Amino acid sequence: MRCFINFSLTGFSNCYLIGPDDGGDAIVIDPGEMNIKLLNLIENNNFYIKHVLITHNHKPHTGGIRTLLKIYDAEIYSSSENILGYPSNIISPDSSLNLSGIEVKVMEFSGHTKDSLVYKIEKMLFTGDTLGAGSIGEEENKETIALVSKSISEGIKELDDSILVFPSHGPPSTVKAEKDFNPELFLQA
Amino acid sequence: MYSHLKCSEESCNYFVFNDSNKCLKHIDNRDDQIEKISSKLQQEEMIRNWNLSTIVLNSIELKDKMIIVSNFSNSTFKNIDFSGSHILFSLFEYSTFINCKFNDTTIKYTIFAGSTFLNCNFIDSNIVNSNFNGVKADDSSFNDSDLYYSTFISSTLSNITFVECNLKKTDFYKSKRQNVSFKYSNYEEAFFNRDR
Repeated sequence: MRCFINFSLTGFSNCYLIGPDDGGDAIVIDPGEMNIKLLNLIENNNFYIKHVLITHNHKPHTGGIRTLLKIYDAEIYSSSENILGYPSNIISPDSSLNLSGIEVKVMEFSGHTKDSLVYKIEKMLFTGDTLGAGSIGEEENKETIALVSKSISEGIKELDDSILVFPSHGPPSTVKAEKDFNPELFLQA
Repeated sequence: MYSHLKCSEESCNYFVFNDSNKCLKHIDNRDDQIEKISSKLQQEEMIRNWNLSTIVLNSIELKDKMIIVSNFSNSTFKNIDFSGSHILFSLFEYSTFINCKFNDTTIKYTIFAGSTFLNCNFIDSNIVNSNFNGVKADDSSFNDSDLYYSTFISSTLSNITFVECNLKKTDFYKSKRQNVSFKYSNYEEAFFNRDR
């Protein structure tokens, strides 16, 4: 399996492309923008986008869907009924998906938005805006921050330290680095 | 992507070395293997999907390399020159770097979290979207570099210069800084606190 990152200037967000080593049906996570760089990554690796996973329904994570669906006949998966007016398969936390042979575990660390989902594919955790390298998603007040950090802390506690964390904004991390250095986890209200 | 298999030695949590079933700490003929890999590293221009976790490298040149999706976590680098290299999507967490040069490098989406840097230079480099959280760095320089969207959260920085750097969206939240210079850099566009 191969994973590529494409940086989008729309919302300064990361979009992830995951597909088999020798090409074929692939997954895009949070296409904030469908730009020429992403198109080249897809085509040059002989991928065909069959599945679009959305961590939450905000434009930096969905803005490229309209163009993407003009090029590829792909299904959307999210916790919403529709994304930018396109129908989405509603998925719930603690479920699993088999997308063209790629196993996706759907998780929820409550936070950032009510519809936020986290996806685990093999040793990669795609956290959207819920968990970044050394940070958590923007919250309204200290009480919410404490609840969210508790939820995330409990969520990652059981995960293997070597799992790679791929957030929607900023650099990647590992579960161990988040446990060791994320100052926003384990906060108290 | 590099293998995520763990060493078959009981209670060892390190990654296996390339195609073997043990990590570099527990592999047979460890010194020979390191010597072989060290010479291969110098010969190859493209280092892709390599798993060299826990490697110890001393006094070699790794200039102008493409290091892509490779794992060098928990490793030790002494007197290594990475100048002119492109390091993409790679893992160097919990490693030790002593007298290393990363001048004129491009480093993107790479994880150095928990590493120690002593007398290292990252001069005139593009270090974008890279993770330096929890690092301990002393007597090192990032001068003339673009550090866009890189993070130094919870780091300990002593005698470090960030002179004439692009620090837009660079995150220094909860970092401990002693004798750190941001001269001629746009430090007002970096993050030092959380506005909450």
